[in-house]
Amino acid sequence: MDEVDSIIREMETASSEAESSIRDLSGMEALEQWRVQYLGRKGRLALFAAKISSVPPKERASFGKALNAMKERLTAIYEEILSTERTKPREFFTVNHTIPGKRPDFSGFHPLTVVTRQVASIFQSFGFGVHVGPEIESDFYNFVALNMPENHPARDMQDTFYLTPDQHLLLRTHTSPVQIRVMERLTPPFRIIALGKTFRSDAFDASHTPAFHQIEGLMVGEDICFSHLKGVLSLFLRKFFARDMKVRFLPSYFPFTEPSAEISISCEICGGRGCQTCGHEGWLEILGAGMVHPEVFRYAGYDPSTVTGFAFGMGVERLAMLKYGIEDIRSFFLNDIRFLSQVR
Amino acid sequence: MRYCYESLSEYLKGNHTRTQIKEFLQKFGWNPILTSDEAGTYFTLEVPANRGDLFSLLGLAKALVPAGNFSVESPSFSVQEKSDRTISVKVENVDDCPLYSGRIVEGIMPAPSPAWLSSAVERAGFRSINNVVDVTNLVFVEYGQPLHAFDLSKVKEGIVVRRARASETITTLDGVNRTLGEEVLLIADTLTPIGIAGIMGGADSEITSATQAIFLESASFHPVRIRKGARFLGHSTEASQRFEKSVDLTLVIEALDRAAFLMETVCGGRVGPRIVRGSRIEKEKKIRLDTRRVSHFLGCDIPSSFLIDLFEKLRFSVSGKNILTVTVPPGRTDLEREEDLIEEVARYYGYDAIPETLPCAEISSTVSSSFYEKEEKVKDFSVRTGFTEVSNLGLVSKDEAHFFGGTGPEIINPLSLNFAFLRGSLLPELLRNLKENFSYRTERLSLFETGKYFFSDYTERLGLALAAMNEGDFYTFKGRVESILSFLEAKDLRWDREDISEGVSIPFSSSGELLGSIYIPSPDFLQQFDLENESIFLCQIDLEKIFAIPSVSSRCEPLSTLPLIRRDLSLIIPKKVRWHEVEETLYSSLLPSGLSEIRVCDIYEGKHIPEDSTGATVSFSFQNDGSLTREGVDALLHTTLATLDNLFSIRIRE
Repeated sequence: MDEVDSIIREMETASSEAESSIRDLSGMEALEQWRVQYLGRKGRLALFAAKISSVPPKERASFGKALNAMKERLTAIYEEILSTERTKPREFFTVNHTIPGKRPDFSGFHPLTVVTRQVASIFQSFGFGVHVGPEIESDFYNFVALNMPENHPARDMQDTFYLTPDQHLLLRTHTSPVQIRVMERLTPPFRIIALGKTFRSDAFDASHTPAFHQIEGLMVGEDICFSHLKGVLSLFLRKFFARDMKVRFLPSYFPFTEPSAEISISCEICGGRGCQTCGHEGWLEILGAGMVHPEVFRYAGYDPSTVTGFAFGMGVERLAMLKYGIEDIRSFFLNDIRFLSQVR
Repeated sequence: MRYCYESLSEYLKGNHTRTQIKEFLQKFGWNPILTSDEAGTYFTLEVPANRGDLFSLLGLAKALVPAGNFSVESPSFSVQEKSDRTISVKVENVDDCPLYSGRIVEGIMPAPSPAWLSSAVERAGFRSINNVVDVTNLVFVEYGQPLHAFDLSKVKEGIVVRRARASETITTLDGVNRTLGEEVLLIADTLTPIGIAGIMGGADSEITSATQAIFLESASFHPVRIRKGARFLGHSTEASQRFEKSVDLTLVIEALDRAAFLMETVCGGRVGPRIVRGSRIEKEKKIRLDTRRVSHFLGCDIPSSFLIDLFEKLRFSVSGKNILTVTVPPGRTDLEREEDLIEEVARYYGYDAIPETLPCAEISSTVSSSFYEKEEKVKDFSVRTGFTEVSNLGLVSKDEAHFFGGTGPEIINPLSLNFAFLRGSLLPELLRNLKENFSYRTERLSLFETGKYFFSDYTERLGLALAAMNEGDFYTFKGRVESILSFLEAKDLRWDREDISEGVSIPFSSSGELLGSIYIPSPDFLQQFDLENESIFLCQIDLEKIFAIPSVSSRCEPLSTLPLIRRDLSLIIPKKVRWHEVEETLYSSLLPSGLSEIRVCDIYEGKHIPEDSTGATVSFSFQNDGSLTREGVDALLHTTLATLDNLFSIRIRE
């Protein structure tokens, strides 16, 4: 009886001893040693537990209770110390992880490339191929084949840079000559876009530059009609601007299409009520389009009584300005890295 | 062109408001802008270049008839010929002037216009001058037919319509003395010019308060002749712009008579007989229109009744049922073929009423041009190599067009000297971009551009240009260039050196084909860009030559599992040694022993290295079936070092 009591007292002393010693420890290794000493297979607790066989059955219950209390007390303190030990800084890695890292310098694509790729990939997903052509063009491809013969008043709409005094060679004023070049090579049905740089003798100011970029499209087949033009271009605009806006088609005039259309979207900034961006009209003009003029088909060697098609064109700078809220068209050509790094 | 709503209402009868009319004009695509002042309400319209018929109040009224329950009321008048005075008129070339008409009006009393007349011309945007001139302007606004009144006392004997002779001169109404040429069509008397046909009258025959008799002219001049004349003179007027869009032959006489009537009633004149030269009859234009094609072409069912009703309201006569024959008025020069009529139908039917549908097409897509796809790949590689893309106009100054051996051609009608040439190289603009960024304290920068550059024979090539400012030494830049070239599969490159006026050029070629150059611009050259203290490297690559390199198979090689032995040697290489020769020697002697790669992994010059040499750590990798030991490799390299010393004076660094 006394013997059991003294064992229980011994257990209490051992527990207090263990408790005070663990608080002086430092490092995972010392902690592990402590665990082995007290909680291990041959540790103090195990030694006390082994004594249960010599305890008279009557007193086994209180002995067991004391044993359990010791185990719980030591395990709890061990877990507590272990978890504090784990959150201590590891000495092999001492940094200030809150200081900003050393970033690589920005490198990326020009905003015009970003926007061109967005447009091209939408049309490529519609099955359109992408084509390019020369920037120095002949009068024939830039004007005549597009139903603008010599002295056609519409030539005045496109102030042209000429390279030769006979005005035979010029800088293309639109990407439409690519359409003619493509039609000469391909057999309908087909659908393509043509993209690239174009030139007009405009001043270099906030809304004009003497060079700018265009994307044109052409879909030719046996049954292509005006409602297809509306469907394809509406779908394109909704995809490009990633919003469900109103699209307006109005009659327009281009020598190379008939009927011709001017296509606007509702102004996002004012919601169509009218603001400075949309010239208080509530609409932003985005695209010119139309059914390919029979004379253009004739120049390309197609029979306009059997093929029809629609064509459209848009300015890349204008698309980018509307999509990203860019106010001065010169920004594209000044190439300030602070500007370039904003359009991803 | 500006139209006054109140004036329009005098000719367009029916119930309408200005808001309604604005909506119709909008729907028809003429982009009306509505303004007003105390005198009236105005629409400013963008009239398409092919719609000359719209340049008058009557013309616009006719076009608006189908929009509502409207009708057109033309001015009513009858001319009383109270004089029999006439004048000889001769038209030298009918092509220049298909129809010329006129009347003499005697006993005229020039005076300020009555209020109704002055306000009518002012609402049309003219200044009221006197009753005679105001009458001609009013009829111009009504019919779109420009008229001119000459002071008859200044006309000697008769009128001749003829081309001007070189260096003939005339002082026009605006007081300018103009030198004429053969492109210019004249109204002359038997001695001298009295007006420039279709452009402006002469000052000498101007109507003054002393004028007692006039010759009133109404004519049709050929659009191209007027256009060329206006270009020759560098001067265009309301009248010339109108003639350039061609006037309606059937209205020439009507406008003359309307003006003569007003000259009598407003200016108190006695009208003489009508003088006409040329033919007023224009061939009727009949256009065949398949009603089914209208629906097919627009993609929606438009009933024949709509078409027939529309054409009748436009005063086109129609016959037939499914296939219509439509006779259009001669004033509608824009209507010539079936598609023109379909456009007219679509305009009045309303583009918004046509549905949006998607075409059915075969899934096989049209292929893209390989140039486009390859150029996009080049952009990807360049960005991956740490360059940022720029975009430039491609228009440069004369000096810039000739930098770096360029021969950019000249633009014959440039806007400014800064943009007077096409670029002969992509680099001058890239230097400008560096300068622009540097002035905003961006000190380190790597830029690239792909685009066309041009030659004096007007050919063009696609190029890639690279520029780096304060981004490491020459070898760093060269490494980036090599890395892009290797992406592009350019192999066995040879590097040369040339001194050029801009600094140093390092042209590189593959199989004898020059692919491009690295340039190290001199501080002297860089001074004009304020960059003389910066370390700048440039490169331009001819992408068309690169794209012509046949692409090797894109299959992946299996990875070798043979053991690898690597040795790094620090070598001192005299600067006169050509590395490709060293490489050839090494491969030819070590390839049989299992040399798999030689790589230069570190380069240093300056301190501890003789001035005439470069230090380089060269890494040799050997791989074979396992028979080669480390000792074997060491022995091989020992022999090799002796050869390098012998051939190139290359030594190992102590």
